[in-house]
Amino acid sequence: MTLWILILQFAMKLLPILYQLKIIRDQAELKELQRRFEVAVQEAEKGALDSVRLREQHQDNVDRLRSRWDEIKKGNPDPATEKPTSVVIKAPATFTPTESFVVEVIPPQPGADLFADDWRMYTLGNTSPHRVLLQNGGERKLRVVRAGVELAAVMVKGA
Amino acid sequence: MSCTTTPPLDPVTPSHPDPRFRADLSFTAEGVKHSGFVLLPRRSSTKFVFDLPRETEMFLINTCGREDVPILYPAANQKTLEYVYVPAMEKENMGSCALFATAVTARGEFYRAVVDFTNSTGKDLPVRLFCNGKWADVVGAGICQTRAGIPVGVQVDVETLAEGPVECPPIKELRTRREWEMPSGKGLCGYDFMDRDGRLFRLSVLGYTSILNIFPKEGKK
Repeated sequence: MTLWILILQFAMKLLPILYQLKIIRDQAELKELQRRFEVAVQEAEKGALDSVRLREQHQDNVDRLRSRWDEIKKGNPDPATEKPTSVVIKAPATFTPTESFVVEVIPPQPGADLFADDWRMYTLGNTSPHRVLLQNGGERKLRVVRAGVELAAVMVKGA
Repeated sequence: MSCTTTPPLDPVTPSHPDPRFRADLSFTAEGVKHSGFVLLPRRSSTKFVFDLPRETEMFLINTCGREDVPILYPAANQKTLEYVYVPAMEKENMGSCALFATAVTARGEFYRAVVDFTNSTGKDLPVRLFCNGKWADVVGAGICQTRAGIPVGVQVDVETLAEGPVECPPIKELRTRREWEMPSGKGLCGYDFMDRDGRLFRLSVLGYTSILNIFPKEGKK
């Protein structure tokens, strides 16, 4: 009899602890579900403009294709296969993400695009230099591109 | 200077902080069953019935010209969602204007259907398209969904030029003005092919890097 009472007393002491552990586990599960939900919502919202982007890509492609065929029909070489000139990008080896820095394209390539590789693109004018702001660190690639052809590239590193 | 918010798509890299998931949403369009990334004839009106995953909390419908957020009734255990898509004239009924349907569940699962539409203009270029292990004869528009990095191929019988976005994997010309190959990039990439007479083939490639586990873990639900 005494043994049963002891067992019962032990069980009554243990139950609240087990219940507390269950609460902790449930809270951890809930937190994980919440995190997964937020990631899924972010993914959904990130894709909200995919249709717009795709349309822009196709439209730009078609514009370039028409230009190329126009040149070819005039008897000129296909602009996309012309050999690119020797182009150099001068930029600091390291950059601070919160400060803009100067990029020089030599010789200047008016009408080409400078891709700063963090979703930013700058259309080059007739003069150099250009100010670029990269908001995230890490190793990044700066590229000068004309008519889909990469003319020059350089790697820079975020301090 | 000008800026664009169009994000560049990485070529395939061994690790990436921003995976693109493949989690196909099932639906019917005018009574015909489909799933995932699909090409349909463009109509003045298309009735979609989407299969809602269990515990869907959010549903989005996006095109190049809209975002609709249909009202859901989770308490009623709603299993499907009906949506009649009427593309807006001059905005959504020409060129590329894919419809994206996205479902997010309370458990953090993400499902998507992408519907691209053909658009017969009378100037449609026929091609042979290689996608995910299969060759197909297609005219005017094509789609391909595969793991990012797996190549997609196009062959034509007439002299044709090819173009793709600079932020996507470059097109490799295998035979001059006749055959090309490009690795699928992460996310969506649009490529176009045009012959001397202006006939066009529009190709949309969807590359994924992760297949979302659509089944919840065993145990307490």
